[in-house]
Amino acid sequence: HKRGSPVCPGGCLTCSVYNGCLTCLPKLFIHLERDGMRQIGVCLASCPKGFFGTRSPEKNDCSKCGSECDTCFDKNFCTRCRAGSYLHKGKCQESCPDELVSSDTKRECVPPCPV
Amino acid sequence: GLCSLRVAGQGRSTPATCSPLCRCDEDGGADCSGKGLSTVPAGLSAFTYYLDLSMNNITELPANVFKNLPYLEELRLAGNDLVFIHPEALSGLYQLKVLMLQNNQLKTVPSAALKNLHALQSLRLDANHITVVPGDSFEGLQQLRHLWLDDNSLTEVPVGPLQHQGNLQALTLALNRITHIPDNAFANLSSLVVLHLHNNRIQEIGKNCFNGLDNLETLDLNFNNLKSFPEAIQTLPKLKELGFHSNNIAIIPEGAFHKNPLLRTVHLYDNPLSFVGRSAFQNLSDLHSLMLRGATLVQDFPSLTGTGNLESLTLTGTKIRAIPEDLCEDLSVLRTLDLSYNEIEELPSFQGCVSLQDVTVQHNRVQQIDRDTFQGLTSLRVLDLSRNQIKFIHRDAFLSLSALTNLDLSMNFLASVPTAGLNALNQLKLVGNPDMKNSLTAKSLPKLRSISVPYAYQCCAFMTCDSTHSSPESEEKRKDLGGDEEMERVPLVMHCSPSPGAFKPCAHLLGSWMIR
Repeated sequence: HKRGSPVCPGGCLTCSVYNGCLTCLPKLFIHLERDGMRQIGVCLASCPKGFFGTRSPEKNDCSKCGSECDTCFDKNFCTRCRAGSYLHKGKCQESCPDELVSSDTKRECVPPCPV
Repeated sequence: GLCSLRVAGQGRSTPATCSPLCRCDEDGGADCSGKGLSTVPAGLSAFTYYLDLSMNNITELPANVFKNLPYLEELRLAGNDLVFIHPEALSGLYQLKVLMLQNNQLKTVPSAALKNLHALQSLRLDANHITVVPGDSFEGLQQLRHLWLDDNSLTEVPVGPLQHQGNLQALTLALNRITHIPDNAFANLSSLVVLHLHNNRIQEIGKNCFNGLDNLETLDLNFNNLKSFPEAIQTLPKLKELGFHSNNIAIIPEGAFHKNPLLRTVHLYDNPLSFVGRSAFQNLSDLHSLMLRGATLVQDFPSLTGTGNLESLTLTGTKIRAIPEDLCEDLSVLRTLDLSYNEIEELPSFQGCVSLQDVTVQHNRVQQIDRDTFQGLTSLRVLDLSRNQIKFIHRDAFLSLSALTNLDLSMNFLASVPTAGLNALNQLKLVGNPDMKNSLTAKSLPKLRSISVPYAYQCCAFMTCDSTHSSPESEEKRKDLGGDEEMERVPLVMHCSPSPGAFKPCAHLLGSWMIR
């Protein structure tokens, strides 16, 4: 692993055997993964799918996207939708506005192909 | 363009090869993250569409290093030690949509290297050391939608580089050292929906600094040094989420949000508020939470007409003495109401606020509770009236509070308390009512589990006192406590304070407690 004390996994500043990373090296995001009943802290440069990063001077957290998003910019703005819904201006919708059509591969509302 | 069909065979087929340093899947994804690499591994399949090189030790990207990966759509280089990206490093990546360069050592935006990424939608440059954003930084990026520049060392909004980004929808410039926002800073960003500027050093903003942001829904100005209310928000007709908590704003002017009718949340706590315009929060029909703390000079209760979907209202630390009689005419979905630490003398009827579950009016100057004050509040669970000057409570005041579990009447001037209707009550606080000397009975409070009373002897009615054991003699004493034949034995799972003890026995001294 790249940095961090020999005991701790990569990216950790402090850690415990039972709960993994407790604090991260500067600018990394701390994310809590579930392992059965346990929560294991991991330090990441980007939050996993379904989560977005919130930076603050004290700590950088991973928070859950809205339920309909696969990936998102923040809790109000999706960047990719789950299958079955279509992205338009940061929102995942079941149908698209009139002037657009739904693309299942992109999971987005896209301009119709010119005939 | 968007309607181009993929060339046959160009789709995601089983990759012919994979670098031994990576894990490749059959969809064309290659994960080479956290392998201690100092260069981009060779031997990856030409059809690789996703390449994760994050958390390695790559300090430079030489020219044409990805030229064999023409179908790459997502490239992750976060968490390396990147200092330099050759202008030709990313050439050939015509289908690249997502480029992650966060958590590196870049001091400037690698504009030359980005120039030909015409399909790029998401660009992460956060958590670098960028002080300079060259004017042509994003010129070639016509499909750019999401841009992260937070946690860098910018001292001003990169107005020039952003001016051609008509498709940009989400931008964060948070955690930089920006001190002001000039007029028309985001003039051409007509598609922008989200703008984060929190944790900067913004002191003043131009009245027209948000001109052009016709579609902006989220604006985060928290943790800055704003001295005055950001009037510039009046050019944001679609605004839904607004935050400017933790600034230095003293005044919320009249009509502060009258041009933002779609507002859902406004975070403005941790400002040294001294005045809030009475009309500031009118006609915000989508607002569901309002928190105003410590506006010390406010004397008038803000008008909430047309703001009928409030679910939570907190208004504390003001000089407000009266609550409008018609407050509850408009607030049928209000669930929590916190009016503590004001100077309220009289309570209106909260009858229309039928969804109320939690009411706190502690630390005011209320003197009495009328019959209709809480009438009809069948969902009310918590009621805190502590630290007022209540002398009188109408005997039917709690009649309809069938769901009330916590009632705090401590630190008032009560001599007695009506219990009719309090069938669900399990916590009652009466301490600090010196005139309440009568003994209380548990009979009308079947669910009571915890009570605090002005005098220890009053606890005897609720528990088996330590100094008396269950013996015929104590039964005699139980009757003395004003308990009558039908008095049910109270379950012992009971907490009563101050609990009678050796020096405050339940048995009265020399025949009468009055001698105590």
